[in-house]
Amino acid sequence: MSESILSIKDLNSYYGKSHVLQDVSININPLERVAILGRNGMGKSTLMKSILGLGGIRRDGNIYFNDENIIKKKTYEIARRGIAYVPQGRQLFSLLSVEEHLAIAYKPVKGGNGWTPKMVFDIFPEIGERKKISGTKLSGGEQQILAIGRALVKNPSLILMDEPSEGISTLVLERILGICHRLTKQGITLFLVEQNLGLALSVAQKVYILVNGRIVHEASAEEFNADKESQHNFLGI
Amino acid sequence: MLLMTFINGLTIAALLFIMAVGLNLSFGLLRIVNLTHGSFYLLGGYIGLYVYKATESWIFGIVAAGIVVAIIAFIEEFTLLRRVRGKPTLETLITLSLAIIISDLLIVIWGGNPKTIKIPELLKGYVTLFDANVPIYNIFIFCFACFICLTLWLILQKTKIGMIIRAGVDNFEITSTLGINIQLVFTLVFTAAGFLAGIGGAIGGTYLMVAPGEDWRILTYTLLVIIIGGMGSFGGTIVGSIIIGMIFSFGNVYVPQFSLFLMFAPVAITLVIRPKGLFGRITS
Repeated sequence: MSESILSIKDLNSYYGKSHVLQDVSININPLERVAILGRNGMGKSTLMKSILGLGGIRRDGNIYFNDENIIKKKTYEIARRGIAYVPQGRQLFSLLSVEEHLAIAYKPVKGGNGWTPKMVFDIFPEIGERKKISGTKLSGGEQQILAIGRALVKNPSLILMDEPSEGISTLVLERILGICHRLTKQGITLFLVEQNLGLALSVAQKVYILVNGRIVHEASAEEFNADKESQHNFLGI
Repeated sequence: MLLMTFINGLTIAALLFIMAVGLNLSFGLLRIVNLTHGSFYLLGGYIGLYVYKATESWIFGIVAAGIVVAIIAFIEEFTLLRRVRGKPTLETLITLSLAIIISDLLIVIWGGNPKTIKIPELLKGYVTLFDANVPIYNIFIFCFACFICLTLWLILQKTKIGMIIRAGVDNFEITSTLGINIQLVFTLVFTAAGFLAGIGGAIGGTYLMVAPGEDWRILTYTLLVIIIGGMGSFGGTIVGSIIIGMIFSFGNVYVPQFSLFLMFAPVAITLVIRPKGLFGRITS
């Protein structure tokens, strides 16, 4: 038995002939908050999609979730094992209302301790007041909240979050930050892809740096925050 | 004359709706234009005719047509289309090949002479509406299409499976990340579309005729409905059916020499002005 909730070993991913991820290995322990950092086009989103088997990406290597190799599983089978996804660009359903976004994803937890659509609406009254309108009619920040809410009500043990800060205001960002911190207390592990270094370092406990499809650096968030040279070398800051 | 032409237009619209709604829903989800749909219609017509003759029950004929075609649609999706998912050229070629195979088999089995399915006693006769004698069977087709329309609308808008279908039409990959077996939903919708095409064939065969060539004619009209109404749109299918049904009916009565032109002209205009169709959401 390994300690990791998610263990990626020697993952290689291809878009057609393009070899995007090369021998990527990552370990995430239960209740950890881990971020992948890297410039644009380094393969961060591809990594998220590769874990879930999305986007017609060809993959080889091994991805263990709770010690089970999920590399050959279908997307819905992976999701049913307890992984939720907040995709880049929200990707809400234009034909579904706000409340339907939560209803379609909602998976009740035995004992009633998990997230419910009502809890999401209580915490984010701005979307609770607009339950009946299409999810894509919300503002950018509200859409991001709804995308996160959709993942939360699935009551997963791991959330993959791809660029949650993209195109949203500082105010909304702070609330998302609050939610991210709250996840650990609720038994949810977070794996984050983020270009906003400030957000990533304030959320994550551990960071991996991805350059040209390879993991080139691994550090605790605290160490990386203090390591200006690595920030400059890998992220150009 | 005017009223009767209008009623005939509504009847054709109702028949086209029964055909087009299934095809459009499966297009919205699977992103493939199932060219077998017209053959499903004709197969439904022949099955309906055969079972009606064998059992002397028109209702049995209709139900059998729906079930047999649904089973064939299920086999097509499960054994062929599923293997080439995401490869539009292969998907189109498979549905086209199957359409030709079914068409030829139908000629081998039932011959090339046109046949008609007799209208059942209960639906024979006329109702006088203003000055027009309206066949009861026309009213039946219209009411049946309304029933299908309402049932599908309730399923799509008020049930969890409807919610899943709408989400899948929008983005089937993200729907899968919610733990939903979208492949199963694909099969279900494709099978249901086959069921409707089979029923449509038996009902349409009673109104029109069952003959070689009807499959391609109905497929063409159904595609016109979808192009005008909009790919993947339920409401668009209703509007598209009414437009094509009315053009068909009025065109044939008042300017028969231009009836085909009148049907294709709005399609060309729609494609130029609004490529997604009047209510469409999908371009690819």
